[in-house]
Amino acid sequence: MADTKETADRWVPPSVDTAVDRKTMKSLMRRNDSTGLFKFALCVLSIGLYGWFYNLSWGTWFVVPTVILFGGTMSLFVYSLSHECAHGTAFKTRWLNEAMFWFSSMLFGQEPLYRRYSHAVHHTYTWFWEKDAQMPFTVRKKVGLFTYLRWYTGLEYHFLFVWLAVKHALGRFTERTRAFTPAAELPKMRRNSIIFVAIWFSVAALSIYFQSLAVVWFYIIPKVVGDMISMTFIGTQHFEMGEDDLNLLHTTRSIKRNWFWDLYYWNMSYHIEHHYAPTVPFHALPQLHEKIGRALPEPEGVIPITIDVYKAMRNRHLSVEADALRMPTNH
Amino acid sequence: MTNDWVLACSADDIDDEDVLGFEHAGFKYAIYNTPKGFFATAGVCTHEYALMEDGLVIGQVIECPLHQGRFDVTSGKALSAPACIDLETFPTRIEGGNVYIKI
Repeated sequence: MADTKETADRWVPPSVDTAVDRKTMKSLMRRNDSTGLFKFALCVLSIGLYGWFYNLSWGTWFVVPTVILFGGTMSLFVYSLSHECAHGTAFKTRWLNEAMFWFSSMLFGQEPLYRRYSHAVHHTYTWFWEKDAQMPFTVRKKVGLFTYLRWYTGLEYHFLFVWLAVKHALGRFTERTRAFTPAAELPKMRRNSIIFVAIWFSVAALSIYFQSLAVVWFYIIPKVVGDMISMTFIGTQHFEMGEDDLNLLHTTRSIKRNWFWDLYYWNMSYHIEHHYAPTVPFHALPQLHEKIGRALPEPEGVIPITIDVYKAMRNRHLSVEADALRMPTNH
Repeated sequence: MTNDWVLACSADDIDDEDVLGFEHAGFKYAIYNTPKGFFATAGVCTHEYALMEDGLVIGQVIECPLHQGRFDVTSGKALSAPACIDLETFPTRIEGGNVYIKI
């Protein structure tokens, strides 16, 4: 656990104009249920519609765009909802927030308590190598194309988190997990993992028993395809930014807004703003941006950032000696 | 701990459902104005270093500004992860429109 004032300074970057008075910040931090429920309904209904298109397009070439649309929006939505609920900012009513946290984390593939603690340490040590539990790459190490693609496809990332839940269900916790999880919380983490693994295995067993491919067609295949989109969005947040640096502007990026994807990304385009004040809910981030945006860099789009990130990784790959890469989830 | 009543602030200094920081003898405290009255706790989160005075008061709950751990300010009880160690609490009393805490 971090216990120094130095770590707390991280979320108030000195180069951001922090002149947001207490009254304004208090109003920005306020929660409600209606905005989150409306957004949730809009996401679920539209993703359901895309799923219907996907279903109709089976056996035709249209299955390619429809599976990307359906899977991409679903993957980004479950990631974003799980993230917002991990902060407790999605809904004002606590039980509703926690119920949605379990629901979205189940579909995202991470046990909620692990997700909350690993994400807390990410906010404390944003992009500090070997401290930030959600940091997959470092500029200190070579990253080859295969490793890069392995992360961006999400296959290894999600497999490792499912495997981690299995290990936690068996009561096996690694040093890294123990480093950011209080010992008193490990039994709860184990209990949650047992529930998650039991549900996953039950769904698999029922699918086999009823000889149903519904889960494969409507969840696994679209999710695997869609993870490439959600991982691309996640990759814009910190990749190839400054490391071991207290200033959020050096370690974190916001991206240019896109009305369509922002619906499913729950306004995480405002990523610097989110790290600046994680207590501010998704729906108030545009207002927070109005207050501090003038002190922030002009955001770029997802595609230019992703290309720049890849170029930076490739150049480093070509210019330095090979080194073992450690994936973030190698617990 | 001196076991003394110390003047922390005027009751009017804290809006309804809000928190104010207070420092005394090198220690930080947080004073809350809740629907159930005024309460005081240690001023720093038990999870990681963050000042509770920057947090959000929801009823009688304070939410840490850094990781959104939650505490019941009337008892100091940690309510949700990542907070799991209770906050120390201090008795309060209102006298002449001022808030005093016993420390």
